[in-house]
Amino acid sequence: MLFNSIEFLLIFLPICLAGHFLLRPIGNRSVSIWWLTICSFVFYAYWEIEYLFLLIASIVANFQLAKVIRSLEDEATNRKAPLLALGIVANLATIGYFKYAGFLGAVFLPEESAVRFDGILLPLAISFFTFQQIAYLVDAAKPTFQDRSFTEYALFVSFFPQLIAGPIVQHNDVVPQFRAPKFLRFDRALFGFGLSLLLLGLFKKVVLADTSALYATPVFSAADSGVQVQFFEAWSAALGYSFQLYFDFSGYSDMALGLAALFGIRLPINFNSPYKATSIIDFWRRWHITLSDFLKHYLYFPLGGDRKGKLRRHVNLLITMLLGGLWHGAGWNFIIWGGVHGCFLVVNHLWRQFSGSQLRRWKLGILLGWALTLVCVISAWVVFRAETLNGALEIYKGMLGLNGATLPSQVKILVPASLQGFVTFTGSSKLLAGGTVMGLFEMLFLFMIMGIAILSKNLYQLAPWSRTVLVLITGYFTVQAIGFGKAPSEFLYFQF
Amino acid sequence: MNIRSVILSMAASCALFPFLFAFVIHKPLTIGLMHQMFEQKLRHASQIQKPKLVIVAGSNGRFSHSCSEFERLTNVPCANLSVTAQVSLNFSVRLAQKVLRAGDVLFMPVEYGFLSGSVDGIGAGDEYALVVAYQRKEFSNFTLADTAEAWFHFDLPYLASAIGETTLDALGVKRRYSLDTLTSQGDEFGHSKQKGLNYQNYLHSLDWSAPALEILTAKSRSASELQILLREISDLGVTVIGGLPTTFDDEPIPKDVIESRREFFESFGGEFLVPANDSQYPRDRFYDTPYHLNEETQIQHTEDLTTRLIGYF
Repeated sequence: MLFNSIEFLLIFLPICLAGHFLLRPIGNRSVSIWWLTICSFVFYAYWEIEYLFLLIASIVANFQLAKVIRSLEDEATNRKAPLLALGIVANLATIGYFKYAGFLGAVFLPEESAVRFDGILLPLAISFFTFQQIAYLVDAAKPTFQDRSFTEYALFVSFFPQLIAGPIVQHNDVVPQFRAPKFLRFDRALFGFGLSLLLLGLFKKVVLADTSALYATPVFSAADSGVQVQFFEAWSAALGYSFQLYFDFSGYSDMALGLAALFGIRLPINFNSPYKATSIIDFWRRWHITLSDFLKHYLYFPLGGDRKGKLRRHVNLLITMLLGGLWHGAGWNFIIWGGVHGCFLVVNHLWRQFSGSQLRRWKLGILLGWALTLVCVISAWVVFRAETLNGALEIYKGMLGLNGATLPSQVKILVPASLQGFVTFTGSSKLLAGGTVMGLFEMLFLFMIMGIAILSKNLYQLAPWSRTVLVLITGYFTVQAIGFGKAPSEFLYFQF
Repeated sequence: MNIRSVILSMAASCALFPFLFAFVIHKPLTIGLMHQMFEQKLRHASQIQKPKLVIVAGSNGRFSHSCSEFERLTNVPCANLSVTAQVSLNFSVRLAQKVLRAGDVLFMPVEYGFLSGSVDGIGAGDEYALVVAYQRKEFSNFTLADTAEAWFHFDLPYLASAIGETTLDALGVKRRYSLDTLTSQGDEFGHSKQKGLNYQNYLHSLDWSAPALEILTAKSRSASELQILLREISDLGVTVIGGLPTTFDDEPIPKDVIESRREFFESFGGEFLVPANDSQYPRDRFYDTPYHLNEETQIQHTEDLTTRLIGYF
């Protein structure tokens, strides 16, 4: 069930909270943890009950393997490595089968092959709970590892606020909180913080993200069907998707933090105003922070990081980003997107190498860096979003003006005379804001939310009274969107 | 953080914004214009004392049908109450009911998007904005669910476009149609073939296909309400006649689509009128959308219909 659904907000969540608050006074930590774990299993099973068994099997198998690895602590370490490798390979093979077999089969198998991998249903959240458990296994092999009980481990993996779309939580982030005395105490301030973050995160998702999609989806669909898109249509789609994804993920991240806080748990920050980034390096320290950290510690560093020379460092960056792109989905567009960001990072590192640090502190330089980073990120989202590579190419051609630029003739008076020569004024523009002139003014909305993305602080950084004021400003629109809205809703990051 | 203050803020927000959209935040160039058009057309219709022809449809009603031409040919008064397909047909008909009397003829060449049983709310919902901002007494005709829908109709793009429209209105910017492009009977005028050349590229680039049959079922709440409403109007002594909206002639309108509309109108004792060309014309006879004929063709289309409609007076 989606976090913005009526059944989640009015049925599932109240029951979970009620059970949690009723069980707390008993003072039995295990009972409270089991209650949250069962709630999380119910949450997962609501999507597809068969795959709940996969989740449970994965939890049991990984926990047992970690126990075996831990039991070898005092023995020769060369016995731990193969077991750890087995665990990692088994987890990756599981993702590989469910997520990539269809794609790899389509790429490598001949069409007439008897072996088919079509129609494999992707278990929800497999990318997230598998990566969390891989990290746990790696940590279990270290001498500093602290043992966890099965109940703690099960909840750490399955905790519903972060199960479906992150953050990718390390066991050290949350298990100590399960053990802390305040886990069984009601923290009024934290609950209030969680409630405000949940409501404001919902606003970002159901109002900002879902409305932005209205500008992107028709144009991307048209481009994927081979329709030529012109300059304004292409840019409205690129911007629309960039903000749809931004507020989808930002809103989800806030909701995850908020939901966990309702139960007295603090999750790690996963999103830090990435469209304020002044470089691509900065961008990847702000966007999907826990995934970046995971890839850095469990892929980039084991590949050698920057310890084997500059050329090798760049190769390692490219490999890491290519696989990071592939993590998002089984498709050439995701691989290309990852590769593009890998190239951006390489160029950024080269620029830092050859430019002075003073240049990077120059205000105009920072502004230019921000603008260039934003354009690069928005442009890369096009290939990420398009269903086909030809569709992405059509959008890029439109963005570069190769298909011309058209606007409705009624807005000619609003276009400066010096620029009118670049535009064809026509009766209506099919794909631009529904083809209506008034629809063009609704696109002021895109500029409004651009301002929010670029200028506003993160919600978790605001003072409590500021969040209360924001609830006053946004609450109506959240209720409107959930209870009465017509825009279709999907969580984009649930697909990854 | 105070939990109570968060909850109270949420509640206050849900009370504050409906008030603002009712009294402060408006869309003068769209919703405001709809309101003015309805007011002007209803005022004209209410002043007619003799049996009259009343036309109710979406915007094809006012672009493609000419009351002034009908009056010229027949000396029978006519009121064109058609405004837009952005408000539900039920809403438009309920407004028309106020000015209909025994002996009148209600002609409804409604767009194909209306009378589709798969669309429960036959209409795009702008009547909610209209009622909240300008016609709050119409709430007496709303169910509780409709009332809630109305008060929670306004989304963020609405707010953004309200700001845009208010600014444009203050700058004196006019839309390509307004009260100034309406005749006293409520028809559009001045949308000539010459002016329509500006939109021909757009019209010819549109993908258009004939409407598919969508069974009108009693399960659609709005369709049931509309049937009841039209039966009430028939019982008043008004002759209700269904018609076909003007559309492109790329493909013929399927016969089963026409028959399902005929069945709808005849189900409550109404009539149905189908012109020889099924109200279909080549694209170059249209003005700016697939439903709006240019002025020259509007006159010709009205002349064709008049020969059939006059028989009801």
